[in-house]
Amino acid sequence: MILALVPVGLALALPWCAAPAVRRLAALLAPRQASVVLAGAGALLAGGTVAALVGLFHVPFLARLERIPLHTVAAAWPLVLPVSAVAGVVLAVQAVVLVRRWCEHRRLLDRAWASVRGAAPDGDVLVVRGSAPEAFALPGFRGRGGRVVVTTGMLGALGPAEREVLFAHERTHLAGRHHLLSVIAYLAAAVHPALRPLRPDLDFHLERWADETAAAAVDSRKRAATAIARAALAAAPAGQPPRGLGALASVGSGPVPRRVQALLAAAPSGPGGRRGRAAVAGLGAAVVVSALMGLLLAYGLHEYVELAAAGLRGA
Amino acid sequence: MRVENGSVTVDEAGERRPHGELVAEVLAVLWSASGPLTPVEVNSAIGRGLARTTVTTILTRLCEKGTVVRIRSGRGFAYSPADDAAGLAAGRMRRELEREPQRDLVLKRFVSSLSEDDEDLLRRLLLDAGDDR
Repeated sequence: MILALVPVGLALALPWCAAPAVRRLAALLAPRQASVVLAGAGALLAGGTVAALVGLFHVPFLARLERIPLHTVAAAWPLVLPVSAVAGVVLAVQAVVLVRRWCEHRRLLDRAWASVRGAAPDGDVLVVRGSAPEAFALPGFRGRGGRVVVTTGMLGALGPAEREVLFAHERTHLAGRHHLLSVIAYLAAAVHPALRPLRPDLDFHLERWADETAAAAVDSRKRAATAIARAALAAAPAGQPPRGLGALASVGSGPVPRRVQALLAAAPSGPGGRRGRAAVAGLGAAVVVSALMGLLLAYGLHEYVELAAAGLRGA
Repeated sequence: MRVENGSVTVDEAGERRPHGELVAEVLAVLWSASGPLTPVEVNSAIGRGLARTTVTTILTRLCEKGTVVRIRSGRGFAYSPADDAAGLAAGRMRRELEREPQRDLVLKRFVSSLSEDDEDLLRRLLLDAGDDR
């Protein structure tokens, strides 16, 4: 049993090593690919963690299925019951947190839609009267299509060309269903603590994805950059203390200046040169292999237990 | 003329843009104006060189929905925002949304908040980029 616990322990520890690799890989990729890699790896690694826990949890039940008395199993593997109990408790807690987070997501959508009730929609744009500059993508909910919500204050702060950047940016969020990718990262973080840093990274890359699409739509990276900078300055009245700094904000400069700087630099073309491509291929392979390994290890435990059970029955 | 959801309008420059954006600009102009505006005044404030009928159509539709009201002005109409009948106060929306610390989970905002260092950096970046609006 101890031998069987080693690979499962590895599978459970895997996200601690894989998450930093995934973040490094994402930093090398174009925003769109980076977002897909972050959300996909988060889901895979969370799936591997759950599979390993289920593997640990189901050992006593498997023994029952093989018609071996529980006390025989406990005598052969004294660890089996405590380990299974701990895995069961962790799984139950995860299930509760996952359901609560999903409900929270639905409730937030409901509240956001309720807060704009009464505004007259035209096409997919919803104009809200008020001087405070604010603009966001409101995802579709219960049959209502997604909307770009913008205050007259934000429209007034931007020139006509810059408004186009705003609309193109928010429409990218809606068309790409970016809030669902965010939710995947949020749910994955509930399964394994090592996956928590993926979420702020993903949110940043999603903004970059929308920025790049907007820049392509108006055919000017500089115009996209100035639109974002002007909107951010308009939305931040002088002397107001910074609110809600994310994890990325603590690293030198916040997400908005980093987005503007990225737009003022050359278009991201992904990793260049042989060494860059090799690094990406290596990191990508490591991430895929480690995610698959987690699932395989969990399955291997299942096989091992069946084999051992057959041995016990034969004894 | 009925313009359906997701339709596009062609302006004089031949650029196709989603209809909702134009309506947004018309509303922004009306809400920042001090008095009622005629379609021609709205058109010149938008500054896109739109066809006059386009602006008039948008204003007529907004009027039917109750978002704006019109008064007779010369041979045509002048339009002004309805007294918050359909117009939603941004303050209410903001208060509602700011009660939610996790709102960024579902709402992708155009810009997130800035620290003071961020503001300085952005101003420098704007200057360096040659701030031509």
